[in-house]
Amino acid sequence: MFTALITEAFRFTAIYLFGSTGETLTEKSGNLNLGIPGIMCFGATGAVIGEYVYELAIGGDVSKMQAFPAIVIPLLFCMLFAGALGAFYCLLTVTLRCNQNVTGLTITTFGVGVLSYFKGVLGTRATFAKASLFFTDGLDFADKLGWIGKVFLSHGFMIYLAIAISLLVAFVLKKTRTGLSLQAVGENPATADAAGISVTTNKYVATVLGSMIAGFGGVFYIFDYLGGVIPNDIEAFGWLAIAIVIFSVWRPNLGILASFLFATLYLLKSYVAPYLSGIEQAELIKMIPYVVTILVLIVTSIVNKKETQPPASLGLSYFREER
Amino acid sequence: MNPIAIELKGVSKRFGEVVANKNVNLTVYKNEILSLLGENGSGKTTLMNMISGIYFPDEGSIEINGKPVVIGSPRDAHNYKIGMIHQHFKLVDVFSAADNIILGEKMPVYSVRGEAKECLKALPTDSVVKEVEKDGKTTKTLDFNTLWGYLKVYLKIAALPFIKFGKKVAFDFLKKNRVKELQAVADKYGFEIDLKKKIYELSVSEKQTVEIIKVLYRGAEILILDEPTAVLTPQETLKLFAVLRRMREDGKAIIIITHKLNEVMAISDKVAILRKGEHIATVNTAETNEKELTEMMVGKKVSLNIDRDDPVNPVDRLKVKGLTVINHDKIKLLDDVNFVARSGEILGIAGIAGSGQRELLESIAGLVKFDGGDIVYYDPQKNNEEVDLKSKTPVQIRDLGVRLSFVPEDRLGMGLVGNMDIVDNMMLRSYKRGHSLFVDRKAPSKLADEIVHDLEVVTPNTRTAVRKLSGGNVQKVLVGREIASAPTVLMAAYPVRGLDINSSYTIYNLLNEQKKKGVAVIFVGEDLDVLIELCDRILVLCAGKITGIVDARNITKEEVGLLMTKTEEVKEVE
Amino acid sequence: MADTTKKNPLVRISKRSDIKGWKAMGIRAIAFVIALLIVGVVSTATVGGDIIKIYTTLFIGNLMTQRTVWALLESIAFLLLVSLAVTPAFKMRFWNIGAEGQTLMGVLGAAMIVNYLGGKIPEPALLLLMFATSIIFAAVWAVVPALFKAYFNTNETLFTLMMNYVAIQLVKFFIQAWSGKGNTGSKDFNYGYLPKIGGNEYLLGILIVVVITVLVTIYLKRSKHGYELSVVGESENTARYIGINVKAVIIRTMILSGVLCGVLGFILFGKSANLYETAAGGRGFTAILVSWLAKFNPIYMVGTSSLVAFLQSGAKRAGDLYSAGKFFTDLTVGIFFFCIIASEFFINYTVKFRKKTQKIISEVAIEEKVEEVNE
Repeated sequence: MFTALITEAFRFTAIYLFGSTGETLTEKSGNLNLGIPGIMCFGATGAVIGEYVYELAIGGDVSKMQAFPAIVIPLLFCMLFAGALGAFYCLLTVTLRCNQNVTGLTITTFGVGVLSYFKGVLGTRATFAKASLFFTDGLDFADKLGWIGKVFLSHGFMIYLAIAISLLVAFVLKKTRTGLSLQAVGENPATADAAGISVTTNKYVATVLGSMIAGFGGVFYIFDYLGGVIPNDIEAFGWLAIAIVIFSVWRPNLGILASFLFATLYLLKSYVAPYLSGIEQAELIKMIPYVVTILVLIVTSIVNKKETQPPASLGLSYFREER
Repeated sequence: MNPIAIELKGVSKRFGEVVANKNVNLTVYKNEILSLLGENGSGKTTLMNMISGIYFPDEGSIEINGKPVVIGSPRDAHNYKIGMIHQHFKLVDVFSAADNIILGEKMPVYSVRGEAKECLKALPTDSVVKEVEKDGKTTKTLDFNTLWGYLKVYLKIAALPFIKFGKKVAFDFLKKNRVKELQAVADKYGFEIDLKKKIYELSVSEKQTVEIIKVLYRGAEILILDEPTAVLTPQETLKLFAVLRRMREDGKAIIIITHKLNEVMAISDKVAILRKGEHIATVNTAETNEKELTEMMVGKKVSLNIDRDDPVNPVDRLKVKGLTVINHDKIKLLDDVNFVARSGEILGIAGIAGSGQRELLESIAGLVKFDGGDIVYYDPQKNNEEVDLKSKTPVQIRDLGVRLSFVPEDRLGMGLVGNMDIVDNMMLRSYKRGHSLFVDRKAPSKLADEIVHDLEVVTPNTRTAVRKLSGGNVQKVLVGREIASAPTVLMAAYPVRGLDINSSYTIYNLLNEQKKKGVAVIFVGEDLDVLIELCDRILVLCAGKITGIVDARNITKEEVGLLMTKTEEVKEVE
Repeated sequence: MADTTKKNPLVRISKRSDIKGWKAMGIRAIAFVIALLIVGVVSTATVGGDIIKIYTTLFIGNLMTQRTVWALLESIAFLLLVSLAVTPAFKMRFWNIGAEGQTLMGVLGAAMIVNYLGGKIPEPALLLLMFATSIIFAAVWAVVPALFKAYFNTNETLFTLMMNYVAIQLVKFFIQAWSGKGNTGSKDFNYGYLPKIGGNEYLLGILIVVVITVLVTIYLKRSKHGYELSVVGESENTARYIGINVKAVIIRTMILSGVLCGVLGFILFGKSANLYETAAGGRGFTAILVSWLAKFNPIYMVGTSSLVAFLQSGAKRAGDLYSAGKFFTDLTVGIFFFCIIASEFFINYTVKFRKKTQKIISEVAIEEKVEEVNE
């Protein structure tokens, strides 16, 4: 049972990890994008539309489906959709300097609405189920490697992509000038500006890329985890992704562990259900991630160590003339 | 004679009506430290901002290395190897010092087109087709060597964009030993700093060092430092001077803005004096003395004809004993300050900006916790009974019946709320009165009407947000409110800063009226002419210490000026 | 530092100091019309309906019957109440985005009393206890982030956001616990209904909100507390200068926010005597927009909450027309919000195109000079 839990949790880490890595990248530029749940939904919408377009292209014949286009087309559409909504968030908050909280929440409403519309329009499709098989196709030799292979290597590519992206983002933030400039923008835009770094470009690029990454979380959920069924609960994972950003104190590599932990906690309830005296305890288990996040938030603010604080200008618009 | 680094010719700058700089000619040489000396508002910073590309001169020209240049932006300044260290540091707190130094560094220019041109020079000059004489016949054959020569060049050119990309990627990586490399450079100049440390772990002087290294690292040849010693302890100042001297030996031209005469004498080779935007003179430091410099700096006495009556029955109202305030960088902002403010008297406080004036007033008002000393108030309503004001909050001070009014320096950021109307701003002081849960707007409204009428505040009505009023009117509202509570002590910090002549006189008259009523007035000012004509006594602060309390009726401007700049001797370390 | 000369940007954005009322309203009206056009396009694309029909339903769908009018008034009232709850905190620059959770805790509080005491004590006493518990639960939910903000400067946006989800899980827990075995999404009770005034199920709630609106307006504009919190919001330095205890103001104000959310929680529960996790209905988030659009002014808020609730319910009806479901509401309202949010930019800033170089330099220079003097 334990192995089964860990195996599933490892796979389920992806949705949290995509979301939190994307949001971390965004927040590092000083944008507190509360629209991330909506962007995950919107990216997922893009993916299902992409898959549908592929379905039309091959005349709806499931047997004609091939792995490469069935995977790549939805991912590209997801990037296009999520990236566009991220750019729109920037247009409103960076260029038009609107309130970030208000804009983000509106984007979430919008994104959730769009996905639920397409859930109604597209419904369940055979092509989606077939595509899902491509997504979940794991390595053949995984089972031969004993339990390690089963737990960590038997999954579709998305979880490995998620880990790779988060490690890459962590690397870029820590080891490159690009990352240094981006963090300068989030910490102290006036200083970055004075050093010749474009605040606007950095915010746009980070937010758009972050949105694309977050959108992959939605794609994973639909095509990998749910086997091609369009869900209506992506929003909840989006909020948890924001929680993970706090939990991992804005470090994508810690985000991997945090996402794994959150995934385990989410799945735990169905594994421990037989041992619980009542079904209600499961709800308390689901509460743990939020409570722990709050505790992290509190502890970091009490300890007040600079490295574990949110980016100093998080949530604020930058206007050069306003010093 | 050293070569000229930068030369300003007839530079003028106006801001609307105000002339900040007028026909300034200034020459700075390499291997030289030039002090720019002048009172507050004499145009030093504006002048330097024109060199560093923040402002653009209205008239005149700037030459660098003998060639006229246009410095239109900070980036232009950077290209001309000009670096300015501002008073407010531009550093990212959570980055290490080393990362702050390399932040925003651009890759060395790599032009594909230029490189390609270089490559083309290596093209073989021979023809690919070679005529070979054999048996009396000439046959044409391909010369593979030459062909290979051509190919090599074109392949190289084709590879250039990739090389550029590769260089870009390689440049983007932060080298692991970047701290070490920078540290070596810093050590070479004798900077005592650990570049591994995060900015928030550094003291103010270390932060300044980071700024200086940053400017040097960007290859600056002309360095401008805006009041670099204002935030430093005497020991740190000595270290800074040692660094500046080393940079001078390195061929840099250095301009240092300062008010402190002893520092001017200690560090600079030449002194340029600005007064009211005009360049008065540039003299060799070795051929001048502090007295002469002060005279040039403050200029001749200007008579202002401010009324001044003799104090009537002055009694001690407020006594400050051994007041000491230390900031979190362990710098003493106030050091053992002792004085008495008397009723019916205006006590002036003179000093260079940032000498501890703000901390002094805020300590008295209960806004700053002080680290040593006592403040005692003598209550006139209780037969001058002593009231201890030590570690009391503003509310506690008010509850003790101490009628203390305070016109802070920051009018719209502290004394008033810019977005609130005049009436609501009147309430700031009085809204707590009474036990009602609700605020009473009748009395404040009446007060607002009175102030608008009596002080001739120009405003559409009393429901206008104060931020929409002009500076003079804002100040009238603030001073009017503070006076309205019938204070026994009135403190005013720079109450006429930025005001036109008429408004200034209104404020002087108001202060004089309070004096006649027996109020102990404490006036922090920057214009020495005003201080000397308005006040009864003048307390001079210099770097948090009192350097003198003098009778304003028998003192000259130069004497006050000397007291203002009288810090401990800067001793040579080398 | 402003990059001044020569290479001036083509478009220069600067803050407006003032804008005439009619001009601001004009900009908003244009935004509204643009939103309408987009909605028209989107709705034809998605539900494929007749544009005219959608527009008419959007606008007069709410006003068809007496019942729909009452329902509309009620949804306005509820949205207004949450908006009023978040407003004092926003005025203080405390970004409370936890009104959703606070309201839900209010619902839970009432449910808890009904679950344990329903039928055991007289109805009036039950209602009174429900009311008190709702308020206490919601206030606790609001004051916890406030305490940490006041003493440790803990980021309140993230804290209150997380508290929402803790509240949702708590509600789910109790639903399951009280329902006994079996997975269920809601729990019905037989007690704790609000009394109906003259047989009208909407009137009591609406009346309570009207009274609260008046009270909050008075509190913000006329009370000492209201005055203090505006000073804290405008400038903490000024608050320090006149001796306001900033910590106390933060805590006090958030308790008030919580109490108001608690009142709504009580009313929401009292309408149906039913506990479910989405009882707050997203109002906690929508209220942020309503309050922000009204510039934190309770009187304007009556207008903005009416507009938003009107659009929400109109969009719902228009969607129902083509059985399009919840998405149509989200979509329509989202589009309107985007346009209105963007219009605020044009109200607060002016966009100038490149003019003569010299003039721009002097403008910037003067601005900087003024700042220099102020320093």
